[in-house]
Amino acid sequence: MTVVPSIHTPRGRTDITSRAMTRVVSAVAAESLGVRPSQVTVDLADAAGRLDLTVRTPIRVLPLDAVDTAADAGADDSILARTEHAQHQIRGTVGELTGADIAGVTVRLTSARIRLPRRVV
Amino acid sequence: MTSISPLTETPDAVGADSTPDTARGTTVINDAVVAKIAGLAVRGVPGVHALGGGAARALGAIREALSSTDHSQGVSIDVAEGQVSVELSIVAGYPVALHEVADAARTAVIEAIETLAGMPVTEVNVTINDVHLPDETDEAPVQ
Repeated sequence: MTVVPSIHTPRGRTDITSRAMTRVVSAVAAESLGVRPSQVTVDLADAAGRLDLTVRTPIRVLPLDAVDTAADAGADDSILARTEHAQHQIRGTVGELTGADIAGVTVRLTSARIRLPRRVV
Repeated sequence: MTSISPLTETPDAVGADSTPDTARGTTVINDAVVAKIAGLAVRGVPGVHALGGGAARALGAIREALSSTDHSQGVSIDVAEGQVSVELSIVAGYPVALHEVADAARTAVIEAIETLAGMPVTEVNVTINDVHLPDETDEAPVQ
């Protein structure tokens, strides 16, 4: 069961299973939204030969009273801005790692995990 | 299981000078040997985390505990008329470009089989079966 079309080389072809694809997408999404890969659900769909990704994931946010004090850049951007950033990152990094031709990336936020950023001493 | 004799025109195999003279006997390289050579070659490729599908890896873990590692796990070989075609099933690491890993694995297998067994390789089909993510015990840091 492969969604990604196989790549033919002169000496054999390369297939990427949808499981491997899903893993890569969830890892990239998790990294950019600050959650665990296991919390991310990925749907792969075919869009006229290209790959359409739907990612359902929680997002990690700061408690409201910590927003002003947080020194972390990026963490205090709006949720929409961070999600959009993640969307671009998924498209770029997944394309780079798997060579897939990505038609679109849909990111659905399912919940917000409130958690303080780790202090760097 | 079919067995075949290696080519007489062994490229640069060890002791090419002393290539077994067919007049003085035949050399047979069993398929299992070729599969093992391929398996060992792939294991050394950076970016390859493991070989084989889920079931094969579960069995492999047990075998490894009994110190009888199956070196040809995830490798399937087909020999027809002295030519080898290979099917590889690998688990890649993260983050690595999957096609680069596949290409590196393909090159390593072709080189190993052609050098060590002296048999031409027609094709190596690579399936990236899964990707191994680094330990998920901790949450990723906020960017």
